[in-house]
Amino acid sequence: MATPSREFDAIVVGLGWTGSIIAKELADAGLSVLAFERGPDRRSFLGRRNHERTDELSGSVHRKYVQSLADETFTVRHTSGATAVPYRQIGSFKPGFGVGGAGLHWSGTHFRALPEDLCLATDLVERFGRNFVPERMELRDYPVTFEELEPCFDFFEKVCGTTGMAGVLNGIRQPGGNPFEGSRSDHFPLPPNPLYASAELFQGAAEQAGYHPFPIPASNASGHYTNPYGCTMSPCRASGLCSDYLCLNDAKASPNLNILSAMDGQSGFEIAANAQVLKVELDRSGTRAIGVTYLDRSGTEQTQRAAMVFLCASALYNVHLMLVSGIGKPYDPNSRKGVVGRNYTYQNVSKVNLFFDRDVQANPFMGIGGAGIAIDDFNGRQLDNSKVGFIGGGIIAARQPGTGPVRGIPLPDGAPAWGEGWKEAVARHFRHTAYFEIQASCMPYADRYLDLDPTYTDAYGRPLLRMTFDWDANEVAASQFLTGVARELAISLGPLDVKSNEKPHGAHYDLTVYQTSHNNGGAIMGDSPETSALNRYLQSWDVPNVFVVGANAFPQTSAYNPTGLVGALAYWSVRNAINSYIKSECRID
Amino acid sequence: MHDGQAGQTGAGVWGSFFSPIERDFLIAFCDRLIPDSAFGPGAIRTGVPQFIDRHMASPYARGELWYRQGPFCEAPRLLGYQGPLTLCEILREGIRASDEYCQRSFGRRFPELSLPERETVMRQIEDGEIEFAAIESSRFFAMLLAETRIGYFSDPVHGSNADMASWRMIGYPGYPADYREAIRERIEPYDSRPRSVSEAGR
Repeated sequence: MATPSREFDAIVVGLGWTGSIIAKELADAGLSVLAFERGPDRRSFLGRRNHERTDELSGSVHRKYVQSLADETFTVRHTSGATAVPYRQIGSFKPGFGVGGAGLHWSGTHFRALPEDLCLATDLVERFGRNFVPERMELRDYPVTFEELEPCFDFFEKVCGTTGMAGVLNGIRQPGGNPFEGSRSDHFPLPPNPLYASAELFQGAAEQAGYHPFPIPASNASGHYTNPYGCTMSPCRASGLCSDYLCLNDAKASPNLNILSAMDGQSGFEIAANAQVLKVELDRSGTRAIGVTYLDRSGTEQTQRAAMVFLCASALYNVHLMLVSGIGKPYDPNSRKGVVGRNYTYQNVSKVNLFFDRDVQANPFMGIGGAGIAIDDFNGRQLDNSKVGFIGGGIIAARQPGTGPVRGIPLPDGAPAWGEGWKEAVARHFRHTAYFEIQASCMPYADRYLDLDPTYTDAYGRPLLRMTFDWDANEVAASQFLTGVARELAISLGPLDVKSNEKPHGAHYDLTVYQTSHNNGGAIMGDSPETSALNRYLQSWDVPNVFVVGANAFPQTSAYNPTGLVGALAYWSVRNAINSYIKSECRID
Repeated sequence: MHDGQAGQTGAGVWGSFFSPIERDFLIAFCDRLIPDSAFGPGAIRTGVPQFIDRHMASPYARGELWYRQGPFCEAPRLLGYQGPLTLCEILREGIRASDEYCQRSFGRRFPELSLPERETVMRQIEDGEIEFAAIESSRFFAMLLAETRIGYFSDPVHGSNADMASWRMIGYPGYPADYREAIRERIEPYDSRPRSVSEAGR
């Protein structure tokens, strides 16, 4: 437990993927680190198969590993004129809780970024001219290039034992991988996992249609693996208990397994679990953090001093901490000035269900978290945005993280929801239903943002973070176009029936149904303090000894899952902090 | 332990939340949501009403995982349930209001209606056609249907799904959670008797 009187070199707030990466790198550099985590210490989950963890009632109904919303949540509204109401029950997204964070109950999909994702604003001007992007879109380039991040992408894959097949290695195309990926300096640490039926079907349909299917990069080990920290992973057993669940087999990469298990007893590193950080304390000038105020496990308010503070509490909670601590100027949607809260985006997902006859053994109860087959033919520069009527792109994939009956059995449109007919339908379809998923980008808009709610507070008396967000016609068009492509692939396989949930015209954001936990932006990285909260090293422009690490830094949401980029940015940030900031104690320029 | 006895801890045992009148309602309602037939087991045979009663004692049903501070404002349905009630209170209120509606319309409580009458009332509740005072009737229906399905399909360690009968019906293997080899099979249906978490390690 922390000794409150002692000053640490660094405080880490939140111990999921980013916090663990930061803590490990700092501690390895000889710095003293205290990591605060509001939830319990879940490091002891590792090891033996724990059968209770297979229970769907506790995993997917009680959501044992996800944050309870009782004490802390967000308010949400569709437009800035409306009154926001609280996110009272878990629906649309699932915040992590406890040591490991959402890195414990994620699926494992582990993409890098496409090079053009990181310079989207410039790329669109080059491809389609200066007037192509509508004025309401606040597109920005990342202030860092793919080439600069490549060593960090590579290292994070090695930490996670990521499975996959190289598509472009040192500039040379490789058979079987994604031909559109940025050039890699090395292969994936592990080969792909075996294909399940739906991925094999998808691969066939995509090849037939002339697309370029490739194995989804996934941090679900396909064999025994030891990472650079000496942590070991075991082969995935396809349990189908990935999203919502803690891995049964030490096969899914997690901060606990792949980083923190190597830090047991590491000198200079301490964890304060069940300790809620309330705010970052600044000195009188407001330009330097002196530490944090937190509630210890007995609920007593304490102050902990440190020379640096790394906010690693996930995108939304990072933005919340910045706002309640007065770090950076809050965004004002009317003047479009201010930086904290701007560019909030949310991944645009949809699904196509394929209902097969009894001869197709889809077996959806089996699954390998992130693994499967995807196509990138409608993403990045592959897509002519001037022809499709929207900006951005998407991936289409067959991924099967697994499901059981408590998690819900999809049925064709028109099937009864109850009664004898429902019973016959679930028995008929359960084993023979597959799905394809569509994961599209989301552009930032001047009137979609995060700020503090004027009415609702959390259990600690702080205003809740307020989200003003709805789907734009651009994202609806992307959803319809991409889901249409996926539907065609599905139909080409001759299922009995197909059902899809692309966004209809005028669709509004639905907070009640789980879609994705890819909440991005709100404190973005950029090259100007006028339009970004953080510089290219994720360092606050205004309070340079605060680093804000996470998907909050994304100027917009690309088609890919965020974790690979989040991990790479964490390494990029902390390595530059160690090499430059700590020596000079000023902004890294 | 052979088939049929696995993990029936607490099967058919009531909890302490619902009154006898509420239990009668649950039995009559769940019986229509998932009826019993030669094709497969119904909610009553598998102990679903009792499961729901016991489940009402969980932090989940008591609203302990929900943000419950006011003010409680009207909001678009897409932003979720915004009222002050918890799940168990919603079910209790919906049962009371449904029975009251049946008394008013038929002069009998819901369990005393004929099967076709019950199903007609249930469709009206499902479609939100009946006005309840404290909760939208369609929301009550959706929540009770969700609880019924959860009870029907949950692991027998939770006291329902007796004999894992619902898992047998749909072909869900339950606990095994090890498909490293089976995932490669394309032709043969996965064939294994279902197993409960309670059998783990045996």
